[in-house]
Amino acid sequence: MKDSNRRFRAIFFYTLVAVAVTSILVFLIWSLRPMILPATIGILLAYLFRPLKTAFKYHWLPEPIRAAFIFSLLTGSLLLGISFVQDNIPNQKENLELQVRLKYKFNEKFEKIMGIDPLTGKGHSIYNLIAHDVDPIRSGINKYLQLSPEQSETFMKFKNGVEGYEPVSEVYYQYYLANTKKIPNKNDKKENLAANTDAPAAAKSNEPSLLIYLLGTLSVWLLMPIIFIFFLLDDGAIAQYFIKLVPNRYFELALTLQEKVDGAIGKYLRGISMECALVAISMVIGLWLVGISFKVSLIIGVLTGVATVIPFLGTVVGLAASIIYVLIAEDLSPLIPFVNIDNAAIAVILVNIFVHLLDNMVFQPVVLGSAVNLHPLVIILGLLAGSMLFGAAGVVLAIPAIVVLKVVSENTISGLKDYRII
Amino acid sequence: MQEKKSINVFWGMIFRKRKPAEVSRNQFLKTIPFFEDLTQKQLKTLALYLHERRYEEDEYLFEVNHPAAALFIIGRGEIVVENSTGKENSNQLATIKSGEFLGELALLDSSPRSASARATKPTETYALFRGDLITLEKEDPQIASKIYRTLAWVIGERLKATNRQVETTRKVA
Repeated sequence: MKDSNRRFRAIFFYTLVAVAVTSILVFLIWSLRPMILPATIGILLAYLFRPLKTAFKYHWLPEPIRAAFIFSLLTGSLLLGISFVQDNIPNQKENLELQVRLKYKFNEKFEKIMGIDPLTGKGHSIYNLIAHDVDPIRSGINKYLQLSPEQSETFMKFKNGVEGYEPVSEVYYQYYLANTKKIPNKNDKKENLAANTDAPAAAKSNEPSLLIYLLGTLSVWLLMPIIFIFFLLDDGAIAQYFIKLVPNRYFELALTLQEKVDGAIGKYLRGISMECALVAISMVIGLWLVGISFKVSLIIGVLTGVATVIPFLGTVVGLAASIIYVLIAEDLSPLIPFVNIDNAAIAVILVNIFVHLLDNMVFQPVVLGSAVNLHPLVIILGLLAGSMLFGAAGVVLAIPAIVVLKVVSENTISGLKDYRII
Repeated sequence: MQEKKSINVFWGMIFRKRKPAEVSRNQFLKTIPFFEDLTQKQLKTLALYLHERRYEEDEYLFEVNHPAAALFIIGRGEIVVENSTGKENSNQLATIKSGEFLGELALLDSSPRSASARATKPTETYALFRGDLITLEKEDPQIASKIYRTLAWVIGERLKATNRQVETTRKVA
Protein backbone atom coordinates (compact mmCIF):
# COMPACT_ATOMS: atom_id res chain seq x y z
CA MET A 1 0.00 0.00 0.00
CA LYS A 2 2.82 2.31 1.07
CA ASP A 3 4.73 1.37 -2.09
CA SER A 4 1.76 1.98 -4.39
CA ASN A 5 1.19 5.40 -2.80
CA ARG A 6 4.82 6.29 -3.35
CA ARG A 7 4.62 5.08 -6.92
CA PHE A 8 1.52 7.19 -7.53
CA ARG A 9 3.23 10.27 -6.04
CA ALA A 10 6.30 9.65 -8.20
CA ILE A 11 4.21 9.36 -11.39
CA PHE A 12 2.26 12.51 -10.46
CA PHE A 13 5.47 14.41 -9.69
CA TYR A 14 7.26 13.35 -12.89
CA THR A 15 4.20 14.12 -15.06
CA LEU A 16 3.92 17.56 -13.48
CA VAL A 17 7.62 18.25 -14.00
CA ALA A 18 7.45 17.00 -17.62
CA VAL A 19 4.46 19.25 -18.42
CA ALA A 20 6.08 22.28 -16.75
CA VAL A 21 9.43 21.73 -18.47
CA THR A 22 7.76 21.21 -21.89
CA SER A 23 5.67 24.38 -21.49
CA ILE A 24 8.71 26.43 -20.47
CA LEU A 25 10.72 24.98 -23.36
CA VAL A 26 8.01 25.77 -25.93
CA PHE A 27 7.66 29.30 -24.53
CA LEU A 28 11.44 29.83 -24.58
CA ILE A 29 11.89 28.44 -28.11
CA TRP A 30 9.09 30.66 -29.41
CA SER A 31 10.30 33.78 -27.57
CA LEU A 32 13.95 33.29 -28.43
CA ARG A 33 13.46 32.11 -32.01
CA PRO A 34 15.81 34.76 -33.51
CA MET A 35 18.58 33.04 -31.54
CA ILE A 36 17.83 29.59 -32.95
CA LEU A 37 19.68 30.08 -36.25
CA PRO A 38 22.99 31.43 -34.84
CA ALA A 39 22.92 28.86 -32.03
CA THR A 40 22.19 26.01 -34.45
CA ILE A 41 24.92 27.06 -36.84
CA GLY A 42 27.35 27.32 -33.91
CA ILE A 43 26.47 23.79 -32.75
CA LEU A 44 26.62 22.31 -36.25
CA LEU A 45 29.98 23.96 -36.93
CA ALA A 46 31.32 22.58 -33.65
CA TYR A 47 30.11 19.13 -34.75
CA LEU A 48 31.70 19.57 -38.14
CA PHE A 49 35.06 20.64 -36.76
CA ARG A 50 35.23 18.13 -33.93
CA PRO A 51 37.60 15.79 -35.84
CA LEU A 52 39.91 18.77 -36.36
CA LYS A 53 40.04 19.20 -32.60
CA THR A 54 41.05 15.55 -32.23
CA ALA A 55 43.65 15.95 -34.98
CA PHE A 56 45.35 18.74 -33.03
CA LYS A 57 45.23 16.87 -29.75
CA TYR A 58 48.67 17.08 -28.22
CA HIS A 59 49.34 16.57 -24.50
CA TRP A 60 51.31 19.79 -24.33
CA LEU A 61 48.57 21.84 -26.01
CA PRO A 62 45.89 23.01 -23.56
CA GLU A 63 42.28 22.49 -24.61
CA PRO A 64 41.27 26.21 -24.72
CA ILE A 65 44.27 27.04 -26.94
CA ARG A 66 43.31 24.21 -29.29
CA ALA A 67 39.72 25.49 -29.54
CA ALA A 68 40.97 29.07 -29.99
CA PHE A 69 43.29 27.89 -32.78
CA ILE A 70 40.43 26.16 -34.63
CA PHE A 71 38.22 29.20 -34.10
CA SER A 72 40.95 31.48 -35.49
CA LEU A 73 41.39 29.14 -38.45
CA LEU A 74 37.67 29.26 -39.16
CA THR A 75 37.43 33.03 -38.66
CA GLY A 76 40.46 33.57 -40.88
CA SER A 77 38.95 31.45 -43.67
CA LEU A 78 35.64 33.29 -43.27
CA LEU A 79 37.30 36.72 -43.48
CA LEU A 80 39.29 35.60 -46.53
CA GLY A 81 36.04 34.42 -48.11
CA ILE A 82 34.28 37.70 -47.31
CA SER A 83 37.17 39.74 -48.71
CA PHE A 84 37.14 37.58 -51.87
CA VAL A 85 33.40 38.08 -52.27
CA GLN A 86 33.79 41.84 -51.67
CA ASP A 87 36.51 42.02 -54.31
CA ASN A 88 34.30 40.25 -56.79
CA ILE A 89 31.00 41.96 -56.09
CA PRO A 90 30.40 44.30 -59.03
CA ASN A 91 30.34 48.04 -58.22
CA GLN A 92 27.52 50.34 -59.42
CA LYS A 93 29.07 50.83 -62.84
CA GLU A 94 29.78 47.11 -63.33
CA ASN A 95 26.24 46.33 -62.20
CA LEU A 96 24.76 48.61 -64.81
CA GLU A 97 27.09 47.21 -67.49
CA LEU A 98 26.08 43.67 -66.51
CA GLN A 99 22.38 44.53 -66.71
CA VAL A 100 22.83 46.16 -70.14
CA ARG A 101 24.92 43.24 -71.39
CA LEU A 102 22.50 40.66 -70.00
CA LYS A 103 19.53 42.28 -71.75
CA TYR A 104 21.34 42.72 -75.05
CA LYS A 105 22.77 39.20 -75.09
CA PHE A 106 19.46 37.68 -74.05
CA ASN A 107 17.66 39.32 -76.99
CA GLU A 108 20.49 38.53 -79.37
CA LYS A 109 20.50 34.82 -78.44
CA PHE A 110 16.71 34.68 -78.43
CA GLU A 111 16.50 36.14 -81.93
CA LYS A 112 19.27 33.85 -83.15
CA ILE A 113 17.65 30.70 -81.74
CA MET A 114 14.17 31.64 -82.97
CA GLY A 115 15.49 32.85 -86.33
CA ILE A 116 13.81 36.22 -85.91
CA ASP A 117 14.40 38.80 -88.61
CA PRO A 118 15.00 42.17 -86.83
CA LEU A 119 13.23 44.08 -89.64
CA THR A 120 10.08 41.99 -90.09
CA GLY A 121 9.96 40.47 -86.60
CA LYS A 122 9.13 37.07 -88.09
CA GLY A 123 10.96 33.88 -87.08
CA HIS A 124 11.13 30.27 -88.21
CA SER A 125 8.16 27.94 -88.17
CA ILE A 126 8.76 26.66 -84.62
CA TYR A 127 8.88 30.22 -83.32
CA ASN A 128 5.62 31.02 -85.11
CA LEU A 129 4.07 28.04 -83.37
CA ILE A 130 5.18 28.98 -79.85
CA ALA A 131 5.39 32.78 -80.19
CA HIS A 132 2.07 33.20 -78.41
CA ASP A 133 3.49 31.57 -75.25
CA VAL A 134 7.12 32.63 -75.49
CA ASP A 135 6.72 36.32 -76.26
CA PRO A 136 5.13 37.27 -72.91
CA ILE A 137 8.02 35.55 -71.12
CA ARG A 138 10.52 37.43 -73.30
CA SER A 139 8.83 40.75 -72.67
CA GLY A 140 8.69 39.98 -68.94
CA ILE A 141 12.44 39.34 -68.86
CA ASN A 142 13.04 42.48 -70.91
CA LYS A 143 10.94 44.49 -68.51
CA TYR A 144 12.88 43.09 -65.58
CA LEU A 145 16.24 43.90 -67.18
CA GLN A 146 15.22 47.36 -68.42
CA LEU A 147 17.20 50.22 -66.82
CA SER A 148 15.00 52.66 -64.91
CA PRO A 149 15.27 56.37 -65.90
CA GLU A 150 17.52 56.99 -62.87
CA GLN A 151 19.71 54.05 -63.83
CA SER A 152 19.87 55.28 -67.42
CA GLU A 153 20.94 58.68 -66.17
CA THR A 154 23.68 57.11 -63.99
CA PHE A 155 24.79 54.95 -66.93
CA MET A 156 25.18 58.01 -69.10
CA LYS A 157 27.16 59.74 -66.35
CA PHE A 158 29.54 56.77 -66.27
CA LYS A 159 29.71 56.90 -70.07
CA ASN A 160 30.80 60.55 -69.94
CA GLY A 161 33.31 59.79 -67.18
CA VAL A 162 33.09 59.77 -63.39
CA GLU A 163 36.14 60.29 -61.20
CA GLY A 164 37.63 57.04 -59.98
CA TYR A 165 35.94 54.94 -62.67
CA GLU A 166 36.95 53.92 -66.17
CA PRO A 167 34.42 55.28 -68.71
CA VAL A 168 31.84 52.78 -69.98
CA SER A 169 33.28 51.01 -73.03
CA GLU A 170 31.90 51.74 -76.51
CA VAL A 171 30.61 48.15 -76.84
CA TYR A 172 28.38 48.48 -73.79
CA TYR A 173 27.20 51.88 -74.97
CA GLN A 174 26.17 50.30 -78.27
CA TYR A 175 24.37 47.56 -76.33
CA TYR A 176 22.63 50.26 -74.29
CA LEU A 177 21.48 52.05 -77.44
CA ALA A 178 20.22 48.79 -78.93
CA ASN A 179 18.38 48.00 -75.69
CA THR A 180 16.63 51.37 -75.54
CA LYS A 181 14.97 50.56 -78.85
CA LYS A 182 13.35 47.55 -77.18
CA ILE A 183 11.49 49.41 -74.39
CA PRO A 184 8.22 47.48 -74.20
CA ASN A 185 5.75 50.40 -73.79
CA LYS A 186 5.23 53.71 -72.09
CA ASN A 187 3.05 52.28 -69.33
CA ASP A 188 5.96 50.17 -68.15
CA LYS A 189 8.02 53.32 -67.84
CA LYS A 190 5.31 54.97 -65.76
CA GLU A 191 5.09 51.85 -63.56
CA ASN A 192 8.83 51.89 -63.11
CA LEU A 193 8.78 55.54 -62.13
CA ALA A 194 5.89 55.01 -59.75
CA ALA A 195 7.63 52.07 -58.17
CA ASN A 196 10.83 54.04 -57.84
CA THR A 197 9.18 57.05 -56.24
CA ASP A 198 6.82 55.10 -53.96
CA ALA A 199 9.23 52.52 -52.69
CA PRO A 200 11.54 54.77 -50.68
CA ALA A 201 8.59 56.58 -49.10
CA ALA A 202 7.04 53.30 -48.01
CA ALA A 203 10.36 52.08 -46.76
CA LYS A 204 10.96 55.26 -44.81
CA SER A 205 7.65 55.08 -43.01
CA ASN A 206 7.95 51.45 -41.89
CA GLU A 207 11.67 50.69 -41.58
CA PRO A 208 13.34 51.14 -38.20
CA SER A 209 16.74 52.81 -38.05
CA LEU A 210 19.36 50.79 -39.95
CA LEU A 211 21.82 51.17 -37.08
CA ILE A 212 19.36 49.68 -34.56
CA TYR A 213 18.62 46.83 -36.94
CA LEU A 214 22.33 46.13 -37.50
CA LEU A 215 23.13 46.26 -33.78
CA GLY A 216 20.24 43.90 -33.02
CA THR A 217 21.33 41.41 -35.67
CA LEU A 218 24.97 41.64 -34.62
CA SER A 219 24.17 41.01 -30.96
CA VAL A 220 22.16 37.89 -31.85
CA TRP A 221 24.85 36.60 -34.20
CA LEU A 222 27.55 37.13 -31.57
CA LEU A 223 26.01 34.06 -30.00
CA MET A 224 27.28 31.85 -32.83
CA PRO A 225 31.04 32.00 -32.06
CA ILE A 226 30.35 31.71 -28.34
CA ILE A 227 28.22 28.59 -28.82
CA PHE A 228 30.78 27.22 -31.29
CA ILE A 229 33.66 27.59 -28.82
CA PHE A 230 31.70 26.13 -25.90
CA PHE A 231 30.54 23.12 -27.88
CA LEU A 232 34.02 22.60 -29.31
CA LEU A 233 35.50 22.80 -25.79
CA ASP A 234 32.92 20.39 -24.45
CA ASP A 235 34.33 16.97 -23.66
CA GLY A 236 31.01 15.19 -23.41
CA ALA A 237 29.81 17.04 -20.27
CA ILE A 238 26.62 18.23 -22.01
CA ALA A 239 25.68 14.73 -23.18
CA GLN A 240 26.59 13.36 -19.75
CA TYR A 241 24.26 15.84 -18.10
CA PHE A 242 21.33 14.67 -20.20
CA ILE A 243 22.24 11.00 -19.67
CA LYS A 244 22.19 11.70 -15.92
CA LEU A 245 18.51 12.63 -16.19
CA VAL A 246 17.66 9.22 -17.67
CA PRO A 247 16.26 6.65 -15.18
CA ASN A 248 18.62 3.76 -14.33
CA ARG A 249 16.43 1.26 -16.16
CA TYR A 250 17.04 3.05 -19.48
CA PHE A 251 20.64 4.04 -18.80
CA GLU A 252 22.44 1.60 -21.11
CA LEU A 253 19.77 1.98 -23.80
CA ALA A 254 20.13 5.78 -23.64
CA LEU A 255 23.92 5.52 -23.93
CA THR A 256 23.62 3.25 -26.96
CA LEU A 257 21.06 5.53 -28.61
CA GLN A 258 23.09 8.65 -27.90
CA GLU A 259 26.17 7.05 -29.46
CA LYS A 260 24.23 6.03 -32.58
CA VAL A 261 22.59 9.46 -33.01
CA ASP A 262 25.89 11.24 -32.39
CA GLY A 263 27.69 9.06 -34.92
CA ALA A 264 24.91 9.39 -37.51
CA ILE A 265 24.72 13.21 -37.31
CA GLY A 266 28.50 13.54 -37.40
CA LYS A 267 28.84 11.21 -40.38
CA TYR A 268 25.98 12.86 -42.27
CA LEU A 269 27.14 16.44 -41.66
CA ARG A 270 30.76 15.70 -42.49
CA GLY A 271 29.74 13.55 -45.45
CA ILE A 272 27.41 16.15 -46.95
CA SER A 273 29.98 18.93 -46.40
CA MET A 274 32.63 16.84 -48.11
CA GLU A 275 30.25 16.05 -50.98
CA CYS A 276 29.41 19.75 -51.42
CA ALA A 277 33.10 20.68 -51.41
CA LEU A 278 33.93 17.99 -54.00
CA VAL A 279 31.05 19.10 -56.26
CA ALA A 280 32.20 22.73 -55.95
CA ILE A 281 35.81 21.82 -56.81
CA SER A 282 34.71 19.69 -59.80
CA MET A 283 32.52 22.51 -61.10
CA VAL A 284 35.31 25.07 -60.75
CA ILE A 285 37.75 22.84 -62.66
CA GLY A 286 35.18 21.95 -65.34
CA LEU A 287 34.06 25.53 -65.99
CA TRP A 288 37.63 26.79 -65.93
CA LEU A 289 38.58 24.19 -68.58
CA VAL A 290 35.65 25.35 -70.72
CA GLY A 291 37.09 28.86 -70.63
CA ILE A 292 35.13 30.71 -67.94
CA SER A 293 37.45 32.92 -65.87
CA PHE A 294 38.68 31.38 -62.62
CA LYS A 295 36.88 33.91 -60.40
CA VAL A 296 33.50 33.36 -62.07
CA SER A 297 34.06 29.59 -62.06
CA LEU A 298 34.78 29.80 -58.35
CA ILE A 299 31.59 31.77 -57.66
CA ILE A 300 29.42 29.38 -59.71
CA GLY A 301 31.22 26.38 -58.17
CA VAL A 302 30.62 27.59 -54.60
CA LEU A 303 26.95 28.35 -55.38
CA THR A 304 26.53 24.86 -56.86
CA GLY A 305 28.32 23.26 -53.91
CA VAL A 306 26.12 25.01 -51.34
CA ALA A 307 22.96 24.12 -53.29
CA THR A 308 24.03 20.45 -53.41
CA VAL A 309 22.78 20.12 -49.82
CA ILE A 310 19.29 20.01 -51.36
CA PRO A 311 18.99 17.08 -53.79
CA PHE A 312 18.87 18.13 -57.47
CA LEU A 313 19.07 21.84 -56.59
CA GLY A 314 22.85 21.81 -56.96
CA THR A 315 22.56 20.58 -60.55
CA VAL A 316 19.81 23.11 -61.36
CA VAL A 317 21.71 26.05 -59.83
CA GLY A 318 24.99 25.04 -61.47
CA LEU A 319 23.37 24.55 -64.87
CA ALA A 320 21.36 27.78 -64.75
CA ALA A 321 24.22 29.96 -63.49
CA SER A 322 26.82 28.60 -65.91
CA ILE A 323 24.50 28.73 -68.96
CA ILE A 324 23.41 32.29 -68.20
CA TYR A 325 27.04 33.32 -67.84
CA VAL A 326 28.10 31.61 -71.06
CA LEU A 327 25.22 33.22 -72.98
CA ILE A 328 26.27 36.72 -71.98
CA ALA A 329 30.04 36.11 -72.10
CA GLU A 330 31.96 38.36 -74.48
CA ASP A 331 34.84 35.97 -74.94
CA LEU A 332 36.14 32.74 -73.42
CA SER A 333 39.64 31.36 -73.11
CA PRO A 334 39.02 27.61 -73.20
CA LEU A 335 41.74 25.13 -72.33
CA ILE A 336 39.95 22.43 -74.34
CA PRO A 337 40.76 22.95 -78.06
CA PHE A 338 37.37 22.44 -79.73
CA VAL A 339 35.35 24.71 -77.38
CA ASN A 340 34.51 28.20 -78.66
CA ILE A 341 32.00 30.95 -77.85
CA ASP A 342 29.35 29.40 -80.14
CA ASN A 343 29.35 25.93 -78.63
CA ALA A 344 30.29 26.95 -75.08
CA ALA A 345 26.70 26.43 -73.90
CA ILE A 346 26.85 22.79 -74.98
CA ALA A 347 30.25 22.39 -73.31
CA VAL A 348 28.86 23.88 -70.08
CA ILE A 349 25.86 21.51 -70.19
CA LEU A 350 28.29 18.59 -70.64
CA VAL A 351 30.36 19.80 -67.67
CA ASN A 352 27.20 19.93 -65.53
CA ILE A 353 26.13 16.45 -66.62
CA PHE A 354 29.63 15.12 -65.89
CA VAL A 355 29.72 16.70 -62.42
CA HIS A 356 26.21 15.40 -61.68
CA LEU A 357 27.24 11.86 -62.69
CA LEU A 358 30.48 12.16 -60.73
CA ASP A 359 28.47 13.21 -57.67
CA ASN A 360 25.98 10.37 -58.00
CA MET A 361 28.41 7.62 -58.94
CA VAL A 362 31.57 8.51 -57.01
CA PHE A 363 31.17 11.22 -54.36
CA GLN A 364 27.92 10.07 -52.80
CA PRO A 365 28.82 6.35 -52.53
CA VAL A 366 32.34 7.06 -51.27
CA VAL A 367 31.74 10.04 -48.99
CA LEU A 368 28.19 9.39 -47.82
CA GLY A 369 28.44 5.60 -48.09
CA SER A 370 28.24 4.75 -44.40
CA ALA A 371 26.15 7.77 -43.43
CA VAL A 372 22.38 7.70 -42.89
CA ASN A 373 20.60 7.22 -46.18
CA LEU A 374 17.87 9.83 -46.63
CA HIS A 375 15.42 9.74 -49.52
CA PRO A 376 15.63 12.94 -51.63
CA LEU A 377 11.88 13.49 -51.23
CA VAL A 378 12.22 13.33 -47.44
CA ILE A 379 14.99 15.96 -47.58
CA ILE A 380 12.97 18.29 -49.85
CA LEU A 381 9.79 17.94 -47.76
CA GLY A 382 11.80 18.33 -44.55
CA LEU A 383 13.45 21.50 -45.82
CA LEU A 384 10.12 22.93 -46.93
CA ALA A 385 8.49 22.10 -43.61
CA GLY A 386 11.49 23.50 -41.72
CA SER A 387 11.41 26.77 -43.63
CA MET A 388 7.64 27.09 -43.12
CA LEU A 389 7.90 26.48 -39.37
CA PHE A 390 11.10 28.31 -38.42
CA GLY A 391 12.26 30.16 -41.54
CA ALA A 392 16.01 30.10 -42.19
CA ALA A 393 16.63 28.33 -38.88
CA GLY A 394 14.27 25.57 -40.01
CA VAL A 395 16.24 25.07 -43.22
CA VAL A 396 19.49 24.69 -41.27
CA LEU A 397 17.89 22.47 -38.63
CA ALA A 398 15.82 20.29 -40.97
CA ILE A 399 18.43 17.77 -42.13
CA PRO A 400 20.04 17.13 -38.71
CA ALA A 401 16.53 16.83 -37.23
CA ILE A 402 15.52 14.29 -39.90
CA VAL A 403 18.72 12.29 -39.26
CA VAL A 404 18.01 12.27 -35.50
CA LEU A 405 14.38 11.24 -36.03
CA LYS A 406 15.37 8.45 -38.42
CA VAL A 407 18.12 7.03 -36.19
CA VAL A 408 16.04 7.32 -33.01
CA SER A 409 12.95 5.75 -34.59
CA GLU A 410 15.02 2.93 -36.11
CA ASN A 411 16.84 2.10 -32.89
CA THR A 412 14.41 2.91 -30.09
CA ILE A 413 11.89 0.15 -30.71
CA SER A 414 14.52 -2.55 -31.22
CA GLY A 415 16.43 -1.22 -28.18
CA LEU A 416 13.31 -1.23 -26.00
CA LYS A 417 12.65 -4.83 -27.09
CA ASP A 418 16.25 -5.90 -26.48
CA TYR A 419 16.09 -4.48 -22.96
CA ARG A 420 12.67 -6.15 -22.41
CA ILE A 421 11.10 -2.76 -21.71
CA ILE A 422 8.29 -3.39 -24.20
CA MET B 1 60.69 -0.24 8.91
CA GLN B 2 59.71 1.01 12.33
CA GLU B 3 60.82 4.51 11.33
CA LYS B 4 58.77 4.39 8.08
CA LYS B 5 55.68 3.29 10.02
CA SER B 6 56.07 6.14 12.45
CA ILE B 7 56.37 8.59 9.57
CA ASN B 8 53.21 7.12 8.02
CA VAL B 9 51.44 7.46 11.34
CA PHE B 10 52.62 11.06 11.54
CA TRP B 11 51.54 11.97 8.05
CA GLY B 12 48.44 9.84 8.47
CA MET B 13 47.42 12.09 11.33
CA ILE B 14 47.67 15.13 9.09
CA PHE B 15 46.59 13.58 5.80
CA ARG B 16 44.14 11.00 7.05
CA LYS B 17 43.96 7.98 4.75
CA ARG B 18 40.35 8.06 3.71
CA LYS B 19 38.06 5.27 2.58
CA PRO B 20 37.42 4.93 -1.21
CA ALA B 21 34.00 6.53 -0.95
CA GLU B 22 35.44 9.58 0.73
CA VAL B 23 38.46 10.19 -1.48
CA SER B 24 38.10 12.27 -4.61
CA ARG B 25 36.97 10.50 -7.75
CA ASN B 26 40.39 10.51 -9.38
CA GLN B 27 42.12 9.14 -6.32
CA PHE B 28 39.44 6.52 -5.97
CA LEU B 29 39.79 5.50 -9.60
CA LYS B 30 43.51 5.00 -9.05
CA THR B 31 42.62 2.19 -6.62
CA ILE B 32 40.66 0.28 -9.29
CA PRO B 33 42.79 -2.40 -11.03
CA PHE B 34 41.49 -1.27 -14.40
CA PHE B 35 42.97 2.17 -14.00
CA GLU B 36 45.98 1.68 -11.70
CA ASP B 37 48.46 2.09 -14.59
CA LEU B 38 47.04 5.47 -15.58
CA THR B 39 48.79 8.70 -14.65
CA GLN B 40 46.94 11.46 -12.77
CA LYS B 41 46.47 13.41 -16.00
CA GLN B 42 45.11 10.34 -17.78
CA LEU B 43 42.76 9.67 -14.86
CA LYS B 44 41.52 13.24 -15.12
CA THR B 45 40.78 12.67 -18.82
CA LEU B 46 39.14 9.32 -18.13
CA ALA B 47 36.96 10.83 -15.39
CA LEU B 48 35.31 12.96 -18.09
CA TYR B 49 33.99 9.79 -19.71
CA LEU B 50 32.62 8.14 -16.56
CA HIS B 51 28.90 8.28 -15.76
CA GLU B 52 27.96 8.50 -12.11
CA ARG B 53 24.84 6.48 -11.26
CA ARG B 54 23.05 5.92 -7.98
CA TYR B 55 20.96 2.78 -7.34
CA GLU B 56 18.41 2.16 -4.64
CA GLU B 57 18.28 -1.11 -2.72
CA ASP B 58 17.03 -3.98 -4.96
CA GLU B 59 17.41 -1.89 -8.10
CA TYR B 60 19.07 -3.68 -11.00
CA LEU B 61 22.23 -2.36 -12.67
CA PHE B 62 21.60 -4.74 -15.55
CA GLU B 63 19.64 -7.88 -16.18
CA VAL B 64 20.51 -11.23 -17.69
CA ASN B 65 20.15 -11.39 -21.50
CA HIS B 66 20.06 -7.60 -21.89
CA PRO B 67 22.58 -6.21 -24.40
CA ALA B 68 25.75 -5.16 -22.58
CA ALA B 69 26.93 -1.58 -22.99
CA ALA B 70 28.94 -0.51 -19.94
CA LEU B 71 31.42 -1.56 -17.28
CA PHE B 72 30.35 -0.67 -13.73
CA ILE B 73 32.75 0.29 -10.94
CA ILE B 74 31.30 0.28 -7.46
CA GLY B 75 32.08 3.49 -5.60
CA ARG B 76 29.93 2.86 -2.54
CA GLY B 77 27.49 0.12 -1.62
CA GLU B 78 27.19 -3.52 -2.64
CA ILE B 79 26.01 -5.49 -5.64
CA VAL B 80 25.06 -9.13 -5.96
CA VAL B 81 25.46 -10.99 -9.21
CA GLU B 82 22.64 -13.46 -9.82
CA ASN B 83 22.00 -16.03 -12.53
CA SER B 84 18.52 -14.68 -13.23
CA THR B 85 16.29 -11.72 -12.50
CA GLY B 86 13.91 -11.82 -9.52
CA LYS B 87 14.99 -12.54 -5.95
CA GLU B 88 12.95 -15.74 -5.50
CA ASN B 89 14.29 -17.89 -8.30
CA SER B 90 17.83 -16.62 -8.53
CA ASN B 91 21.12 -17.95 -7.19
CA GLN B 92 23.73 -15.54 -6.00
CA LEU B 93 26.95 -16.02 -7.93
CA ALA B 94 29.09 -13.28 -6.40
CA THR B 95 29.05 -10.18 -4.28
CA ILE B 96 30.76 -7.06 -5.58
CA LYS B 97 31.85 -4.44 -3.06
CA SER B 98 33.17 -0.91 -3.09
CA GLY B 99 36.29 -0.55 -5.25
CA GLU B 100 35.43 -3.60 -7.38
CA PHE B 101 33.98 -3.73 -10.86
CA LEU B 102 31.64 -5.85 -12.96
CA GLY B 103 30.36 -6.17 -16.52
CA GLU B 104 33.81 -5.68 -18.05
CA LEU B 105 33.02 -7.79 -21.13
CA ALA B 106 30.63 -5.02 -22.21
CA LEU B 107 33.74 -3.09 -23.20
CA LEU B 108 34.35 -5.62 -25.99
CA ASP B 109 30.93 -6.16 -27.55
CA SER B 110 27.19 -5.92 -26.95
CA SER B 111 26.67 -9.65 -26.32
CA PRO B 112 23.83 -10.26 -23.85
CA ARG B 113 24.68 -10.17 -20.15
CA SER B 114 25.27 -13.64 -18.70
CA ALA B 115 23.93 -12.63 -15.28
CA SER B 116 21.94 -9.95 -13.50
CA ALA B 117 23.40 -7.41 -11.06
CA ARG B 118 21.30 -6.09 -8.19
CA ALA B 119 22.11 -3.52 -5.53
CA THR B 120 21.64 -4.90 -2.03
CA LYS B 121 21.96 -1.45 -0.47
CA PRO B 122 22.02 2.11 -1.81
CA THR B 123 24.93 2.04 -4.23
CA GLU B 124 26.96 4.54 -6.19
CA THR B 125 28.65 3.40 -9.37
CA TYR B 126 30.84 4.79 -12.13
CA ALA B 127 29.98 3.43 -15.56
CA LEU B 128 32.36 3.34 -18.51
CA PHE B 129 30.48 3.01 -21.79
CA ARG B 130 31.92 0.95 -24.65
CA GLY B 131 31.32 3.79 -27.13
CA ASP B 132 33.35 6.14 -24.92
CA LEU B 133 36.24 3.68 -24.81
CA ILE B 134 36.15 3.57 -28.63
CA THR B 135 36.26 7.39 -28.66
CA LEU B 136 39.21 7.23 -26.25
CA GLU B 137 40.98 4.89 -28.68
CA LYS B 138 40.97 7.73 -31.21
CA GLU B 139 41.41 10.69 -28.88
CA ASP B 140 43.77 9.25 -26.28
CA PRO B 141 45.06 5.85 -27.42
CA GLN B 142 47.44 5.52 -24.46
CA ILE B 143 44.55 5.46 -21.98
CA ALA B 144 42.54 3.05 -24.12
CA SER B 145 45.49 0.69 -24.62
CA LYS B 146 46.13 0.54 -20.86
CA ILE B 147 42.46 -0.29 -20.23
CA TYR B 148 42.45 -2.96 -22.96
CA ARG B 149 45.67 -4.46 -21.55
CA THR B 150 44.11 -4.73 -18.12
CA LEU B 151 40.94 -6.17 -19.66
CA ALA B 152 43.02 -8.83 -21.41
CA TRP B 153 44.75 -9.61 -18.12
CA VAL B 154 41.40 -9.91 -16.26
CA ILE B 155 39.99 -12.23 -18.95
CA GLY B 156 43.21 -14.28 -18.88
CA GLU B 157 42.98 -14.68 -15.10
CA ARG B 158 39.33 -15.73 -15.40
CA LEU B 159 40.26 -18.30 -18.03
CA LYS B 160 42.99 -19.72 -15.81
CA ALA B 161 40.56 -19.92 -12.89
CA THR B 162 37.97 -21.66 -15.09
CA ASN B 163 40.59 -24.14 -16.33
CA ARG B 164 41.57 -24.90 -12.75
CA GLN B 165 37.91 -25.40 -11.84
CA VAL B 166 37.38 -27.75 -14.81
CA GLU B 167 40.50 -29.69 -13.84
CA THR B 168 39.32 -30.03 -10.24
CA THR B 169 35.84 -31.15 -11.33
CA ARG B 170 37.38 -33.74 -13.68
CA LYS B 171 39.59 -35.11 -10.90
CA VAL B 172 36.62 -35.34 -8.52
CA ALA B 173 34.56 -37.09 -11.17
